[in-house]
Amino acid sequence: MDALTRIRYLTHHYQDLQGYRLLPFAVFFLVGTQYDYWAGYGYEQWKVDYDNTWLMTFGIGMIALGSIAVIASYLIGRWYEERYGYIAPHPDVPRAFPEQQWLILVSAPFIFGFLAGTHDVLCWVGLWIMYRQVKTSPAFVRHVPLAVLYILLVFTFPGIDSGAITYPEPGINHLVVKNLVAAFVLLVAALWNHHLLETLRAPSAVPSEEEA
Amino acid sequence: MKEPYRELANLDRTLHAPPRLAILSVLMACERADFTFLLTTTGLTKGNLASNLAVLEASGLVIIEKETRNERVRTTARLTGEGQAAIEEHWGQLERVRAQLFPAPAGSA
Repeated sequence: MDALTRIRYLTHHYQDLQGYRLLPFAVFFLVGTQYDYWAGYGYEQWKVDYDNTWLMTFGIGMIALGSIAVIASYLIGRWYEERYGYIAPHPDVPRAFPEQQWLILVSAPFIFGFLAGTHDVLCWVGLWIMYRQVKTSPAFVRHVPLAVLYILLVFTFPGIDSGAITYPEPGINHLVVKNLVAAFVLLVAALWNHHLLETLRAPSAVPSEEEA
Repeated sequence: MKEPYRELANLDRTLHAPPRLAILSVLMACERADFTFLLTTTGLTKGNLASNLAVLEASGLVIIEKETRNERVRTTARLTGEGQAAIEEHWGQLERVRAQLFPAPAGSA
């Protein structure tokens, strides 16, 4: 890769390359694995004695965890600014999704989930959208679509029993696997993107005018 | 002197000096960048970067601004309209010279 291509790539994709910003979300999903064990156990108990205290605790726990992940990701963004610098992206550089596509992407899994009677697909699609969004949005904490997505994830993970979306009865194990996969994907993406940033930052200094 | 060599000899030194070409290439790819990002991408030393930015600012190609962000003063640089046009013209000029000196073989895209 010649110097000009490297410079252009790094400048265009600087926000994408801030890989460590994904780490808090990997932790979020990893901890969610343990929560899912608990939630599944709670669901079994709930069916017997109709005590839904676990659901409230679980929901609050997930909201708190997610909030911590978003704040931590924002702080890591600040660290990148201190260490590697700050740019205002070019207005002509396209975002991952235009707003109208966002609406479809966020609403479609909800509809599908209601029709299918499962929330599992919501988690997968939500995870994918979140990954794309975090990678492309420079100030995602203030970005409304991510907030929508976050709420979607929070509501789908505990498996709110609304009458249409039901918690999968034997599904504790597959939820755990899903969370582990999600955490692993985010972890790999985080490390890879940061590695790419380190590789692309000025490997050899540009010669000064006197040397050229 | 053949035409492409004359064009090469007439390249604008303000733009064509490697450090300044690197700085302008970064600024061309974004709206504005701060001093730290320019150091990260170009690999220049602080002194070298500052002196080359001063040359570009004096030439009217770049605007240097101070802004406060997260309670810290940050120095950012961005291209002027003239700078944008000049760097685009410069790259076009380099492409023309390359095409004249190293024409693509017949039949290639």
